[in-house]
Amino acid sequence: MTDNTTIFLDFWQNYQWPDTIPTTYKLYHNGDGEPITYSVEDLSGNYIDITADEFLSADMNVVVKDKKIHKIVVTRLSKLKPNNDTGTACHPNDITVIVNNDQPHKLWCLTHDKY
Amino acid sequence: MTNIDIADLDCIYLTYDEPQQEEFWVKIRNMVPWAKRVNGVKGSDAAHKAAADASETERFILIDGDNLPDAKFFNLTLELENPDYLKAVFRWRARNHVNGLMYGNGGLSSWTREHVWNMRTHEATDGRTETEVEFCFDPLYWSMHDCYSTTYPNGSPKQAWRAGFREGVKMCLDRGRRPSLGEFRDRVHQRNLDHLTIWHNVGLDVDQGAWAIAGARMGTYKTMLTDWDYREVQSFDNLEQIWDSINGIDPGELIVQYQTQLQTQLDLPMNILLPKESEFFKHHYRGNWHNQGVMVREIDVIRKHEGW
Repeated sequence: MTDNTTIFLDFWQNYQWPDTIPTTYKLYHNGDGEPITYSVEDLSGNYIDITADEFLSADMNVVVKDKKIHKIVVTRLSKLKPNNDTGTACHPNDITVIVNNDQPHKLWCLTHDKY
Repeated sequence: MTNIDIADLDCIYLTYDEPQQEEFWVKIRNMVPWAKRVNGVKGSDAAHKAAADASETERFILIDGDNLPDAKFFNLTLELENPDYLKAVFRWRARNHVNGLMYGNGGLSSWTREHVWNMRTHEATDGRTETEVEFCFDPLYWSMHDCYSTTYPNGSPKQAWRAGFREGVKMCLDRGRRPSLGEFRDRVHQRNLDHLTIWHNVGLDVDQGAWAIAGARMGTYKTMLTDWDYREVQSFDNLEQIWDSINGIDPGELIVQYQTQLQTQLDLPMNILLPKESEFFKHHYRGNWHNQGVMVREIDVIRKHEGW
């Protein structure tokens, strides 16, 4: 038996197998419940334990409330619309041309609607 | 010259039974949101063809199931100088988490669909010795110099054993053929012997590293010192049977079991490194590594080094 074999066997007889740590799936979020990242690693910050399916879907269109994932169902639609009172003065026939308010113009305004 | 941004290529994550595949898939999708996954296709040839089928771009990037790419890879541009480059398969190096080796095994690759659909490897061998075990002897299969990923073949005892066993076999071969005992030292490329020795001795510092070492030693032993048909190494079913025959045996026993014969009959250094020594080796091995450019081939560097 070589020296190296002896050294190895001495080591191996006292070898402690690492504990098998079951994989846990986590969704890290900021304090407001907005998702930051899905991970199986121990990172710093707020997190909730989630299922493997939730981990696989890795859906960022969710919010965390009461330690549970809630799908965001609100659809927010942003759209430029003409407005009589406020907005940016644009050429009456071309919205891409910005003009002064004292020139012929139409006002356009960015609106946000939720459904 | 044709330039292709890697970010414009389809990227296929090819998985089979790797224990870490779900975790890696999430990480890869965070890195490469356009990545697609091909899962559970048995056999290397069939799996590569399924990956080609999944790709919507003629050239695509392939990520093996136990590999995690470096994010910067996807910001690079492939500069294809001539028609050979347009057809070629590129295989970049990967860092091996178990033993620190840095070569093509488990690394990122870039294929063309045409090449995959036309290739005959492993299960679909055309009878040439070279293609019976490995497809890296195709003249359009290019080993690239740079390293852009890490391979983690140690997610479970079986995965670690299998990774070691396969390399323990393949690193013995001379262009896909088993050399005789007399030819072993002369015919097997020196780099293969270096890699083989590291597989045989390094990795006790990581989970299941002992299984990778035991697998590598067993693979070399069975290939060179028994009449086992080394071509079985490409069959997952055959590997499964070998694994079943040793499952439950302490890997430490296997490591010691093959030590004397590998040393005396093949003159291979059997000098296993304990965990701290393995860690030290990996820290310093290739410690000054520098990439030279995504299109630089290994052969280009060898030519430059040797003054061809």
